[in-house]
Amino acid sequence: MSLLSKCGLIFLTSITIMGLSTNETPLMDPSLSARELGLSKAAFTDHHFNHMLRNPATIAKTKGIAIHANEFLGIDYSSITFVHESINTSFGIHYLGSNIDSMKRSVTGKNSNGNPIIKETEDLIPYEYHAISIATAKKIDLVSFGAGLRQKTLVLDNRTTTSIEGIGGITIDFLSHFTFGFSARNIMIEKETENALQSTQPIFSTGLKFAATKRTSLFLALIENKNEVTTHATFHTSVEHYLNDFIPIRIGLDHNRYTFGTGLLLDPFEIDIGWAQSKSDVLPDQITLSFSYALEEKNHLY
Amino acid sequence: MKHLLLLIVTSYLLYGTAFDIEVFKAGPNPLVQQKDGLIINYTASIPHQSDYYIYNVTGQRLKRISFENSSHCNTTNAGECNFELLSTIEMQQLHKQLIVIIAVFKANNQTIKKKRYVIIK
Repeated sequence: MSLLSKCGLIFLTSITIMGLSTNETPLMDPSLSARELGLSKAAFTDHHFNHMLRNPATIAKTKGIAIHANEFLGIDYSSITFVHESINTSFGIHYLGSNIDSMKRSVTGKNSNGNPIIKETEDLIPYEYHAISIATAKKIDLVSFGAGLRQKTLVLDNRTTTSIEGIGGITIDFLSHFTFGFSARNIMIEKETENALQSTQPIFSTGLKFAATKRTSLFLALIENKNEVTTHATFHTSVEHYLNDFIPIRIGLDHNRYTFGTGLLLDPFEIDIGWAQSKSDVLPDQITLSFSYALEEKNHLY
Repeated sequence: MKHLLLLIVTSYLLYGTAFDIEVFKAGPNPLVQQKDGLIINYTASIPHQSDYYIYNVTGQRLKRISFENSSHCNTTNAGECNFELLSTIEMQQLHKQLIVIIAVFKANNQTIKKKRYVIIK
């Protein structure tokens, strides 16, 4: 390992201490892939089609299809990503969907003593969430650019709200081992309402990837998300190391909680699982499962 | 002696007051802002302590309300607990979205968790 690599390794791992200083719990983002979750949302500088929603520039020169599944607070989310390249430009589409089909409609009344009571009916209340995104990216020499649009639809009984937001990003490779990345997302173009899934504040992410070796990469990110933490940006840092040609191990610090991930790479097919710690006794940990097929061998470990 | 032991165990199982929460409901569902407050109904086997957490679907805690005992329950029949957890005005402060109500009940060193979804529109 060169002196530059050693210095980079020490710098990036020392950042973890700074992230432990606050207590806010990072919120669940159902659109995160297993790799992104395991790498504490800091991997948006790495070129991979699964990072399209965090930084559309990262889909440049990549292609593949992936499905992701996760569950949080008893609600299931499924998503699919497809990225392909044509005329030296990459195009991506992502869909995320969720629904609850067991929620009973209920009304309130009073019992004989005047106390409030709930009467459930057999009628079910529709609840659905859909988010569809498109993006395009191009790489010119060491610089990649990307941009996209995201439409979110929330169905609450007979009320449907839609929002449209923009996403954009850039990555720059430098000094052969490093990649710098910046992305702006959740840029509101059209909004009808504000809620947890249709948040309104923009999210700015700045990150650095350091490829220490062919098998080991370190990630550092600073994310300003006023929908989550209003007072300051949060630190995210993680490391990915391939134990052999097939098994990656990912460990990260997502602001103030630990994340972990592993997988099985049978190039170009990959299965990943990501875990993020819950900071609350009441909330469950976050777990995401991804199945990816890169449409071509990456050979990045050789 | 065996018969006496059997009688004691059977009596305990039949008449012992194990902690249980039944028919836990939160509503109305959907809850209409400026019209409805959030009502909680359930039946408890013994007096208990309770904590109510209200989260949105991304895990952000919106409210937490704790009761040290069952005095808020408006109990009429054995164990029934019917009360308004959040008033109409308090519900107006929340966004129109799906909320998750997690109730944690504690008694006799036992903890029972219940979860319900309510749509605010």
